[in-house]
Amino acid sequence: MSMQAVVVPVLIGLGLTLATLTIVAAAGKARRRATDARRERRLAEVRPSVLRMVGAGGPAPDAEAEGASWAAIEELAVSLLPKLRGADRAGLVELLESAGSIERARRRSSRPGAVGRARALELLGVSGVPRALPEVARGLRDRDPEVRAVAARALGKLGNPGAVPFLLGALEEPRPIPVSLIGMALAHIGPQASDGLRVGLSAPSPACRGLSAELLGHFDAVAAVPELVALLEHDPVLGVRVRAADALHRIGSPHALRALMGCLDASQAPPLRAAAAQALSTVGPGAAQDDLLLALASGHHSVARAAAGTLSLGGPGAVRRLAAVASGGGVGSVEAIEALAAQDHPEVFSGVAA
Amino acid sequence: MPQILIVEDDPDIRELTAFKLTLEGHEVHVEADGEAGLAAARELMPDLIVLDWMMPRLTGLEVCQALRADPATASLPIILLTAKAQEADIQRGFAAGADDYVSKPFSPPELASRVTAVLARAVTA
Repeated sequence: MSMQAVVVPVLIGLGLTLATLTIVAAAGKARRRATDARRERRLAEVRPSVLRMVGAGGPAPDAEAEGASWAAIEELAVSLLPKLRGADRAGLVELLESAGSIERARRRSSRPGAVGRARALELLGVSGVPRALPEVARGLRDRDPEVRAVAARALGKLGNPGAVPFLLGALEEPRPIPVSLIGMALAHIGPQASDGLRVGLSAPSPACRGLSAELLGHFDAVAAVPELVALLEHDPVLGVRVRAADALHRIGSPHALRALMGCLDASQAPPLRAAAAQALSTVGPGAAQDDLLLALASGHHSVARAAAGTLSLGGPGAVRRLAAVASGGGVGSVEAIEALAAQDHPEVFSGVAA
Repeated sequence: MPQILIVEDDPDIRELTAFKLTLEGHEVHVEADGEAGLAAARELMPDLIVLDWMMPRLTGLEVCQALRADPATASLPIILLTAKAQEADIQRGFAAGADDYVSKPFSPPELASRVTAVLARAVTA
């Protein structure tokens, strides 16, 4: 058999295969385009009736009458819900309830097909319906990472403080969810998450303790100050102690004064000393002058800078002592000059410059 | 009939706001980005502008500042409608010249009431 007799059929076969693949790909693309166009058309069809209901308190679109367009109504409602509040939002949720969308989504959330599960969780999240909590929380352990991420966001949107233990617990699961996503979800729940976060301060996971401390600071959770102080003083992980100091900085409670002063000690790690020095600016900048001056002379720029910044806020006495360091030209003088300039103490600063 | 210019890149919010304000008896004109919004404001000289903050081409804040810097448009009433709801953002919005501030998620009836109130103040002024 000649070479040609072998090569030609192979080439023809390859050509046919290539042509078939091209046709299949083109057909798939055309089908997707047609599906998208159909979806857009349906959205455009239902949009006026949904907007009429939301904007003008008009009659709710009828699920039976709309037939195949109900999926589009649901999609539009899911898109609108996070953008609305008040009676209009409540009306949309009522529409989803009356059409059975919420119950369908609860069932769909555990069925095969990651896209369907993710859509169901998204709908349950934006609806804010409390009874959806177990299904959405279960999504945090989904085998698909995208579904887990959708579940975390949905729990945030549910706005239910009951979601806090699930979100914090997800940080310790073998199937991970980025800490930032969990943090955003908890931030979305808001200050009512504080009780659950206080429990999180004693969790085994450092990520959980650190995130709980940070969020409690953001929520100005004064009631959590004793636990944050305990974390600051005793947590075995430096990063967690630093975040506790940052949280106390935000809250600014005088009950943290002694613990923060203790963290300025030279035996402590520089990041913690710097965070404590900064936290003292809201907790009691005038009360820790001696310790702050020692920190200013520590030779660590970040520690000295934070100490100088806090001293500059500590009243006339602290500012005079800071100015003395600034004019001395020794260790800490650069940071002292910086802090005085930043706090606009022209009389002291011009004296230093002279 | 008061003319309202809505500058908003989110089609859902744009249409819903336009629909609501039309029902309230306003003549509504819509634009989907900051640049087109600024041009429309200069051309139409509307009675009030509802302005989103985060938009392509020009942000709402930039549009607001540009309108305030131009004597011809400096007194146009502006309501910022934005997801930026931090205290510092609100301060920046007012510093840029906004007359009122509505944060998202928003209530369309509340926005309509604010439009009415700002229009009334503008007439009185």
